[in-house]
Amino acid sequence: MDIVGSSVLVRKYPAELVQSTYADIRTIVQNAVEKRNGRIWNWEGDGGLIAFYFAQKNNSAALSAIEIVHELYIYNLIGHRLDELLRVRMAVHSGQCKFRHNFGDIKSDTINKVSEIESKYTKPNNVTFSTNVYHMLDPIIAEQLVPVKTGKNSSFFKYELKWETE
Amino acid sequence: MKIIVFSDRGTIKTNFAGVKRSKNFTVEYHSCIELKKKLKSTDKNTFIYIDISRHDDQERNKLLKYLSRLESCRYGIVDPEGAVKDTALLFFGGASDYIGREVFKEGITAVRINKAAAFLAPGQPPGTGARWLPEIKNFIPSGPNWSGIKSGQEYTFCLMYVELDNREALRKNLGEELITAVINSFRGYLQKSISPINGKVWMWDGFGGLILFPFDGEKCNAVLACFRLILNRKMVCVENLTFNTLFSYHIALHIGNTIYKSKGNTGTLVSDSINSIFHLGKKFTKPGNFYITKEVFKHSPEGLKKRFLPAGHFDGFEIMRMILPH
Repeated sequence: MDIVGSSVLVRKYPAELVQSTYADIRTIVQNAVEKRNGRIWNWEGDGGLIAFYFAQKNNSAALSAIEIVHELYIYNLIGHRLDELLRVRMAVHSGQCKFRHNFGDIKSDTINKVSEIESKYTKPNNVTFSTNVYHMLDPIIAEQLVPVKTGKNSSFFKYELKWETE
Repeated sequence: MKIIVFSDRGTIKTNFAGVKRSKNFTVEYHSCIELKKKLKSTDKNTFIYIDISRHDDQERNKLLKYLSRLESCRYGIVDPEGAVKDTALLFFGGASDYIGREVFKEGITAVRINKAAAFLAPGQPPGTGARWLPEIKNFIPSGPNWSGIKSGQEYTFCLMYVELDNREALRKNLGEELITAVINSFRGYLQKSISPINGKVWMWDGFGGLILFPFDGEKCNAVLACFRLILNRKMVCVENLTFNTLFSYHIALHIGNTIYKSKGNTGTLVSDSINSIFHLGKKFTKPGNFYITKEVFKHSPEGLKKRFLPAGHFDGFEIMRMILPH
């Protein structure tokens, strides 16, 4: 996941304010993933990589991502201190990855793929899911996702929080 | 009323001696460096004064900015040196009093503090921590938690009614045993969601029940918990209701008075507020929706208010409903 427009925010607001805002976002992420046995593998201030390994890992990752979208929405309503709304982009992908204690030593096509989905095919405040994750999801979660048109052979699905008046 | 004075001036007690003599006030003194720490545990009916005379310009500006975001209690500025150039800005920022050089020398009186406490600063939106006087009749705040609540006494609570929808379809399709399991898991999830903000399942009958939250007269935190329950309904069904079925529920929230009796001993209670919340929840609130009375709306977090729309009147109350997620 990644905070949208981070470099602009860093230039525009005092460092202390940006740091405390990003710390709030990390807390939201941590609360959402750790209760579902997810772990933050890498965090670089404005985003990071979260891994899920145990049973129901696809559902856990999807539910965590959706919860982060919801909590960020609430944060933007009542908790944020910037003059603009905070937005994030998230992608969920599943695959093999050889674990190393030092994150910098991990070389993984799965990680490269999820980074690509996040940066190339994900709109702000959306979560994009790869096809192999989509097919493993609980039907109640899968029904909330819609296909993403990529213009290529690859197909993805996305979650976006929508309201009755929108 | 409790007054807390933050000052590093040795003679400050002399200046507040007139307040200390009044039976209506208790006065505490602390060093300015304790301000932020102390505010974390400060009762919302406390009025604080901050002496800014030992702050340089930068510290003072930082402090005033911090105070302008303060929602937990009301505050006044003590400025014996006349350092603040534009006192009106303090009030725009949310201050309720300003003790300048002359007033400071003469001494602060109980009459002045009463006036300050009754003052609603123009810059502060109604419904924030600045609201001092509640609009509920016979208002008896139950406090921020259960520690001061005694059985047999009347208090003002935030009352939440919640019930699973589609009872007949559930009865027909699931059977009694599965229904009981769904209700138990739903009730267990509710208890888990509301206990961090001191909610208690107070009465339960079949598919729904009444939850009580202590109410301190300022903020109604229950509204955010209910907002989350509706926003996360599909996630709740997947993770917490065990049967992989998309259940629906409706919620109503109201603020009103009732005598408190422990769970299970509520059979003889007579309360208009309890009648109102049951009627609002059972008869007026539509399936899948979250309705609140105007009194709850007034005490809701400011940012959340724009997610509610007027939904008519019921039982003499103006009702708002949450805009629903798809």
